[in-house]
Amino acid sequence: MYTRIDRNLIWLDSFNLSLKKKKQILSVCSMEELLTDFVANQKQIELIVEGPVFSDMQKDANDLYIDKKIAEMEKFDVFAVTQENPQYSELLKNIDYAPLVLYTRGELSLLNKKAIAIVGTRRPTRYGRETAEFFSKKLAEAGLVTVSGLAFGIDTCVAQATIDVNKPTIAVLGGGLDSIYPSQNTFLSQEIVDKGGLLISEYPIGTRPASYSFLERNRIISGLALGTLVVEAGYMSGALATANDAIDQGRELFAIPGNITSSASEGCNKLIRNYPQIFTISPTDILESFDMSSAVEEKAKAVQLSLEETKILDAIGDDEVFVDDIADSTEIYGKTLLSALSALEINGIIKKLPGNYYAKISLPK
Amino acid sequence: MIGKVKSFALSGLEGYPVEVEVDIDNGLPRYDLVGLPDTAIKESKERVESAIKNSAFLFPCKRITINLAPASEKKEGPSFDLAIAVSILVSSNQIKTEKHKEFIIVGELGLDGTIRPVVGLLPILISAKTMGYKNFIIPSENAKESSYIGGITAFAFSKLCDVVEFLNNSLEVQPVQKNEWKPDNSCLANEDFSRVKGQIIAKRAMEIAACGGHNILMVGPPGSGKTMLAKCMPGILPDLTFEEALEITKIHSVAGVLDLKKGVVTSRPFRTPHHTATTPALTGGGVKAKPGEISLAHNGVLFLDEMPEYNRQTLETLRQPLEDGVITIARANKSITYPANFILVASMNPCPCGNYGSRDLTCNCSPSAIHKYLSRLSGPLLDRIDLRIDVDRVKFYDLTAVSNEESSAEVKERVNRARAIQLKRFANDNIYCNAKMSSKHIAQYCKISEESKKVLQEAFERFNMSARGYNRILKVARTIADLDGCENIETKHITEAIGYRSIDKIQL
Repeated sequence: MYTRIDRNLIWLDSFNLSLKKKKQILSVCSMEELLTDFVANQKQIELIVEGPVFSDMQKDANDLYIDKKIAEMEKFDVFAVTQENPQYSELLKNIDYAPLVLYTRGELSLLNKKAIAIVGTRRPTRYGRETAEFFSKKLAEAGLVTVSGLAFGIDTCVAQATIDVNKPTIAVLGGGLDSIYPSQNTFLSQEIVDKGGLLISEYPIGTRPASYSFLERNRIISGLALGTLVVEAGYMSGALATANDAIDQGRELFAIPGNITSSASEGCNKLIRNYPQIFTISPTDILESFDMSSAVEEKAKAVQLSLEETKILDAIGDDEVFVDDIADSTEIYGKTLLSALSALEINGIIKKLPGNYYAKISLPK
Repeated sequence: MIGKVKSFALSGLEGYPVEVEVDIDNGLPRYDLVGLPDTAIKESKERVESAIKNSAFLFPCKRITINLAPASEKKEGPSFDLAIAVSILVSSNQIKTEKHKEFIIVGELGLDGTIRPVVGLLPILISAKTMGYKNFIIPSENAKESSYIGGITAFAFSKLCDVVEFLNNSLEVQPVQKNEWKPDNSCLANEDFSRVKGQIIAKRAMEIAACGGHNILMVGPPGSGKTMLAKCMPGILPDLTFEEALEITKIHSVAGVLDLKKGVVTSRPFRTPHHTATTPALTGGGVKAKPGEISLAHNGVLFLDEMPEYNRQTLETLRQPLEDGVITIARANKSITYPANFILVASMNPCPCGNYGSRDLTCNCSPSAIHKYLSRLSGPLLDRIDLRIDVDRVKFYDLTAVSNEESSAEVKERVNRARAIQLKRFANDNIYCNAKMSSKHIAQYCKISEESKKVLQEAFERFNMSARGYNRILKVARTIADLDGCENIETKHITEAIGYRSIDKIQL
């Protein structure tokens, strides 16, 4: 199960130390004999580590402690993948500050599959939500693993849409895997694992998420993926931080333009102004840059439209149209209109939007 | 000498006979009242004594013992005053005939001998009638209430001395005239459908709800006309039948909210409890286990405006009445069942600020705030709401546009026709509208063609609907078909029914 090195790294990772300090300790001690080296080099290490943590380390420098930690992980169905484990993501290993240990639940093989990170605001507009879903589905169907952060908004859309097309997705969390944050997504996280996806965190069991931990995990989201797609991001959105991480890591960056009047797209649009080449309008743009081709399009079912349905479709045009306005322009009223609208919706030709608006379903190919 | 007079008491909506026995004996003057009286009855001594004296009769200066039989039941309220006074007058030989034995006597007394109305007379009369009692002496202000019940003779009085004279055969009194009951359509609704511009989906859904007795939830931003739409509802509900009117009147009479001038409820109730309502206020209860808002809304509409603002615990208590149409209030000493068959009309905003999902306005609620807001309505409660619709603000030009919208009366005509079909269909099923169908009824009455089945299946896959949603859609489709006057549910009815599911779960 775990090798000696794995166990040692799990031991080191279980203390509340910064990555830098862990690296410093590893420069003093060998990975193979970490515990004995730690005891031997206590003087030096005491200079690196502050008091209380150091005394904890002294106290717990034994295998019993490691067994306890491993048992704790097993209780939550968590497997620790250390940097020395061949299953550790090659891409992620190459970034600065790659985490020593990844705590995971789910399908480990996803770590080394071609992946695309899709990030965006926690408060998306309808446009953001739909584009996120559309891109997630298309990219997942073309064979990419989608990576997101399981937050509200775009992240949730990405995970849900990928699950909906029965493809695996990775969610990187900002806290220990024992408690899912936000708790409303607990069920979704379970679904991700059930559908062959993977949950990842760099934080050991029992770590509560903190505001900075979400920023820290952004580097893992972009680090796991070949490229990062920013769907909708406001001026101060955390998604922009992920985009910066992607640039720092030398990964591809993609951004979907938004309405210039929409504050939810402000960040995206500025990003595109700064890096015009990231301008993305269709999943094919992304797939081509990875030398991939999109999945074979399902042929749209030929549906025989009635006279009324054709009239309604004409009335809707390319806009979102209020139901009363459809009635006015088609002069189809009441039950006939509602029945026809419903039939069109069932056939997947139009969709109903909140507030009784209707729009045609049409997105870039 | 012992005087005995029959009166009636209420337990919930059921009445039971109470015999008021008075024994006047020689001895030091005192007045004892036994038979588990409550405070209001105990205080009757002062009212009865003053009323007898002020009606120019003699209050015997002897030892008076009064018993309310059966002595084991706890009795409440001042409605025995008149019976006590009469039996005192009987036993003191001031009423000389035996005529009082034919009557059930009910009424409260004032100090000057006037007879005041009592609460809950109608259920008393109905129970007494089924037990074989035919003649009543009642307060004149309650006369209207009694006038709608056939097969009884009620004499209404406003003064104690008139009652005595009547019983002494020195006063000729005509029994209360029977009133022919007819539903009152004049002042049903403050709002009329013709004044609601646009909103075709909402209006049609209201029509379906009124017709099939379906519960309905409207989701929309503030100012989108949800309340106005709900207020139109009474105007399109099917006509009240006499039996229904009696049921409602009984409850309203017990609760003391009956309009005594009308005497009987002539239109379906429309109850709008405020969202600060407590659980007992809604379901009924309190020390006297009075009916609550849901029973007062029996055979009518219960409108819960801003539903998530209600106390969650309070809302959950609606689940069982929504299913069974009755509410049983259990107290340590008794348990009372009140009918509570109402159409629930509820409205809510999609989020605390109200703008979530709106096309023109931005919502500034955090996702967790929205989640918290929506989760105040539990799944089981939502499952009992067949129609869920979005309502959006109507644009300005819609408000000003001259249009000839259908009036409530026209809609009501359709509803009445379709309700008649339902009554005929369910004649042997002990239910009266489509919303009350059980899965057995659905299998029996909601057969659909292969083509419709295919459409339904496709919709299920596309919209991720639940199995519960399936029955909901069939029930609503049945009502739509009834409105169309169709024997069978057709595909167009199914597709329309599918349209009345607002976003089942607002995604965050």
